[in-house]
Amino acid sequence: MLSDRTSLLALACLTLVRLAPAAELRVNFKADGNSLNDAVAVAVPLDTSHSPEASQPPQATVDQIDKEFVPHVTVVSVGTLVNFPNKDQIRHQVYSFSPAMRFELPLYAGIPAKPLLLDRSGVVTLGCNIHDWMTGYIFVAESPWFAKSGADGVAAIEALPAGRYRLVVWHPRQNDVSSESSHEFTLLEDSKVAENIVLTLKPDFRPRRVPLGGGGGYR
Amino acid sequence: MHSRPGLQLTCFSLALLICVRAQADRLFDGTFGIDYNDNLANAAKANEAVGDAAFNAAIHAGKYWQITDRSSCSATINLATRRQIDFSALDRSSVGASINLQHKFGLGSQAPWLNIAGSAAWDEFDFSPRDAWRYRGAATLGRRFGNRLDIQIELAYEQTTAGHVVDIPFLVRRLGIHGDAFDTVDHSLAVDANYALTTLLTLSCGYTRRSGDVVSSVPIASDIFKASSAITPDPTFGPGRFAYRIDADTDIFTAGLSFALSEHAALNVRYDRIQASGHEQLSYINNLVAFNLTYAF
Repeated sequence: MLSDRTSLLALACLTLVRLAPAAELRVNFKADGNSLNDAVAVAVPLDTSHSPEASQPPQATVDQIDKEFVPHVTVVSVGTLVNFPNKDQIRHQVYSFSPAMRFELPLYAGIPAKPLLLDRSGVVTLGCNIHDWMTGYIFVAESPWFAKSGADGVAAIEALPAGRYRLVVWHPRQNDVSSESSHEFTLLEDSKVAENIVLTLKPDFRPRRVPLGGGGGYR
Repeated sequence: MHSRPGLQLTCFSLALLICVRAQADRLFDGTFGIDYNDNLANAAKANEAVGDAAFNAAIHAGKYWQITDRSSCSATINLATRRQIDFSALDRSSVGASINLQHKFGLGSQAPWLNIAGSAAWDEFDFSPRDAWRYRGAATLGRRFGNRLDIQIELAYEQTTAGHVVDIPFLVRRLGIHGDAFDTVDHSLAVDANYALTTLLTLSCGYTRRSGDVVSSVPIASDIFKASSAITPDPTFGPGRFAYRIDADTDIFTAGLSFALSEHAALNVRYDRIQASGHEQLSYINNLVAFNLTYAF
């Protein structure tokens, strides 16, 4: 039997826990029987009474390292400022034709003067006009509750308020890119929900980095 | 034909001056391989054709400058060597340089591009009369169509100028034919396409139409000599043989596969069918097969 002091302490802790959103959604991504990394999961609240607080910092970074965009997939929420530091010893030229954000950063080294404001949800496909194989993606989520899967294929969205949500999933190589895969679910307070998502992927065709034959040409 | 080293050096230096102010990236690629030619002597008669394999290696090292968002240039030093299995007179080492200027007409991986290239090299053969300067100039227009297909069209000019000439006095007196058989000029137009069969395997196909000089080897053959523009003694394929130069139109059909081992290395296999038609209904057919490993960064 607990003492009165211990009971009061337990009750206080329980109250504190109940004040903070504690529901969690874990999405397990698989493709071709293997865990899938760089898959995006976004929980979009359907309950309009929610006033989501931003769970991510307002700035993000997409590096250019060894002539590649790092990370290959970045997830941010609408209104995020994105920096594109060039950590190579040579210049790059970053651009995007995506409807979510069309832009061009002229040839530069180091860090561009101003970060880019992503103010529309959607996918921003990045390229470098000098190194055609360089491809990166920024998924601009319409909700601050999102996660990206790692090598284990798990994207864990934490600190979700209870309520109804629409789960949006996306991967740069998913077969059907015309509409993001999505379905609705309900989260109870303090619940932990797991979803298993299996995606069908298309091959990752990109301009080849290694030349087809020797010759001293850069292409 | 005379080389113009002063003019070439001036052009090379001017191009470098434009490039040097831009930030430079290092360029390197090395290739090692083996190839087989079933008609190494380029004989017109099937019973005179001889085949041989050769080991070859080449290195291109230099710098690349991005001058503007759309334009770039590169300059490389090129070293190459070739070692035949049987016909060692054709063993050679080469040292040269090349420069490329490239412009992209727009933004994105599918924007068309134009490349202007020039190169010069000294080829030193085991059989020294074949030693020659080799010059090449080319303009290439290319474009990607999606992420799997790219097509290029190239117009090229190539010239070789031998280090020294060995005349056959009898032929000079009777036919006015001199011994500069290893001095050649040709122009070519090539179309090449590369298609990614898988994310790692690329299929290449190409066709080249070349017009100009072809060098062949033959024992004494008066009909062939009369059709030649130059003849010189050449024991490469045996004693008492001659190398002769003839004007010909050549069709080259190419097919190849390239397997990307990593971001920097690839294994390549290539087949060339070379069909040349010269004067007096002389024709030359070569089949070449080549395997090589390429590493680049």
